[in-house]
Amino acid sequence: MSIDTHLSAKIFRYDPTTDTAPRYDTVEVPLQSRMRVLDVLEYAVENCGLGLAFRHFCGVKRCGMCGVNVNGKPVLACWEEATPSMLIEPLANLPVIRDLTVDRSAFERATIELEPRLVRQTPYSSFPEAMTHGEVEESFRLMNCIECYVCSSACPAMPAPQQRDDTPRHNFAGPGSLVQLAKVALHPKDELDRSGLIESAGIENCTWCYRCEEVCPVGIPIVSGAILPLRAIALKTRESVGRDVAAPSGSCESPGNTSPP
Amino acid sequence: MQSSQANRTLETDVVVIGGGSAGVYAALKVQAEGLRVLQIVKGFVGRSGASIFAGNLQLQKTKDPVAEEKFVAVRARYGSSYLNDQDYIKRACRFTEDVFFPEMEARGLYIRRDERGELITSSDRAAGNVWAPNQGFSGTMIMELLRKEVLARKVPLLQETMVTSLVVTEEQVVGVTALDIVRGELIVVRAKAVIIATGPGNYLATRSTATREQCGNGFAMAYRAGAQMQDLEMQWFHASDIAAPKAWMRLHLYPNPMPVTDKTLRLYGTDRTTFFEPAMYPQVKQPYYLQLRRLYNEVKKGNARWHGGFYGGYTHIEPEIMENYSYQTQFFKHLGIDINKELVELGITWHLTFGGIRTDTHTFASSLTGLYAPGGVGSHGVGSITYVAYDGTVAAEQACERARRLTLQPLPEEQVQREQRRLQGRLKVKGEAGLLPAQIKKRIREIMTEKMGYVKSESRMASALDDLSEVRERTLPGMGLGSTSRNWNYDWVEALDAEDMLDVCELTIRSSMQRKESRGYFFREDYPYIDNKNWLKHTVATRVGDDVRFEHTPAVQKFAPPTETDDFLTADY
Repeated sequence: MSIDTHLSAKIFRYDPTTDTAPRYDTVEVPLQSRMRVLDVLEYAVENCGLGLAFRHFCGVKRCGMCGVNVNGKPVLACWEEATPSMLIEPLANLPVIRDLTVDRSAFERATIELEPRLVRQTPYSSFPEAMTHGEVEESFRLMNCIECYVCSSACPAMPAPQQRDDTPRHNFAGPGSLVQLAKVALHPKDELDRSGLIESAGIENCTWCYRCEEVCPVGIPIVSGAILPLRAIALKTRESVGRDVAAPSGSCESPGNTSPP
Repeated sequence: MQSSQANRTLETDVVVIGGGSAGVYAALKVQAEGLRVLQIVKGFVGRSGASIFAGNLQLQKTKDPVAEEKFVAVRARYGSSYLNDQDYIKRACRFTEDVFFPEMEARGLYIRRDERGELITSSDRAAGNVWAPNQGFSGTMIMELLRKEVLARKVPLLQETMVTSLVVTEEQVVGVTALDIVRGELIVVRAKAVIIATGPGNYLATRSTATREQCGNGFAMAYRAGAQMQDLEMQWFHASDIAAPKAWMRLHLYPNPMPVTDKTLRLYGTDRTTFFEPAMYPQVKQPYYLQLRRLYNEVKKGNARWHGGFYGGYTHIEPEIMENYSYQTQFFKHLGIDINKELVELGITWHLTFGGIRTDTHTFASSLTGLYAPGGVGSHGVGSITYVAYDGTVAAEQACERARRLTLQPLPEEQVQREQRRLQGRLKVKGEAGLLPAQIKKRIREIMTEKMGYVKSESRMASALDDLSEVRERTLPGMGLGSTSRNWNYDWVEALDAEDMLDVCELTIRSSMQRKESRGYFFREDYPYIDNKNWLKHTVATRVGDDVRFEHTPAVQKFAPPTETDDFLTADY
């Protein structure tokens, strides 16, 4: 096999229901024009006869379901260019179902728990509603997020899925879910106070390492465009709550305002 | 072990199969009507299927009767070469304007605007294309919002679950059988009505715009259950999808006007001279069919090949337009192609099928009682994410109406067991000389690509049927899986796909052999004329035992073609 015309891919294989330990299969694949990692995986099945389990639907960065680790870096298989020597493994931080297929439900659940749907107090008027591009721009910058969770998989602050709970260090929802929350929180027509949700997402766990932005296959400004603005919303609300408490008020004895001993 | 395979039996009022726009609208509607629903998706809601690929959204002008009539006339002429139900187009347009856009915008769909708040369009702000928020991303954004709706409303949902058959008793659908891909469990669902919304696209050729999981399963299960199929030969191709990398065959270079301009994609031959741009044909209202006919001319001249050797270019369009409004631009950049200066090599791609399960467009009922077929899987398809939302809504109303009248019927045990034996029988490891299901699917796609491409003829179609028979008789018996594990065994899914694909491909070819003319995207080199006198008709296929019976029903409507016959390659529709 010539190095110029072929590439070598070492692929993670593991079926937890039948195998005692993971193994790796190596395939030699002839280079195709502008070949992607996804092309290599398809070749491994269709031409090398590997009964390989990997998930993907669209091949063109819309479904967000083909995340894998290539030489240690989390990528979308459809987007990442194939290189001469690749180690292809499942995304980190998620349980392996089989081979490269992982259980993403922890990330998906974290997103849904943040209630990432627009909430209007003012009734919707009619189509098209009044709104300029400038007004929606902050939210617009996040709209191409395809929820692939490559960022959450790469995030060093993410707790392992089995460790996630409501306690401060373990409640971090992760960058992918925060982008979904920010997209609605920054939408000009959203009228829900989301500060409580932002706090419940454990946003303080973010260490501003920007690893999420480095790996994002669609170039979402995750830290600057989602996490920082969310933090600002939470801080602003907290400050205003502080001011209210400091101001003379007859309601300070109402239940919930007293601190537990 | 054998007896423990009927793993789970579920009961519901209405089953919805599919997780695209039609399926989601149907499921949400059934839930809103207060009935029990179970949505079953082979992939994931809003992530698999055709809907995520919706690129352009069409604004309508249904409040102006003259404009509405004109729109329907254009759509009838160019969208379906006069086969489509024209009254349906009108109703779907009204739903788009009155329900879809307001409802989706209320949910947060951002139709792209400018700094003054005006909608970005290419030309006509009242009735033209709009984008959410970029050209090429609209369907993905719509489906993301709908997915969250389904999850937040806790619609009972089975994802990564493949429906394998419709259960029929006394000519009524009374349930479905399914395979839970994650656990390898066989599921039986009893239901009072079934809404099948598996989409218009099928990955039946080497290059296809359909997603990975779309393998004709919806067509195959409906046909086998006895539903009539219609116009399966009316297969659409794209002439302008990227040639390489292979994974990106679904990357479409839109031939419609770009946002904020009337300029469009140009096509160039091997010699790099322009052979197509819509401005060359000012009277024509739709570029897709014409691109293909011009490409055919270039292929004949040796100035293009079907799968390469011709190019698309945006070099005449302002760089800011590409940068600001096109989702696709980042793909060219990622390949190191300067889209403002360079051309991109293209190939032809098998796109959606206009035909499908024969439906009544007022109810979306199929010919099989209890089965409704909204969206692209139906035979009425025009191909629009907004129209199919209408279909799903109406189908759900009808299914609910039926479900309220009925009680759950007992399932025919023998039929369910037969299906379970079929599935179980596919869970076997391949022998030394055998092939994996994915390898057989690849072979089927190669046959379709070689002999059932854009240009058809009687002899090539007959030869394709022979090749498929050989696959069925010689290759399929040796098909086997990499392992018999029940854990996310996609080989097992693909084994079922291979069987479905053979059925659907054969039926498509036989439907194509019926039509002795050319029309729309359907081109027979041996009948290169549009024959409106004899063929303004639907092709209806009914299963009779192991054979198929064809009938032809008239499609003459208000807007009809002006002449009895037309030369296919030069006609303006």
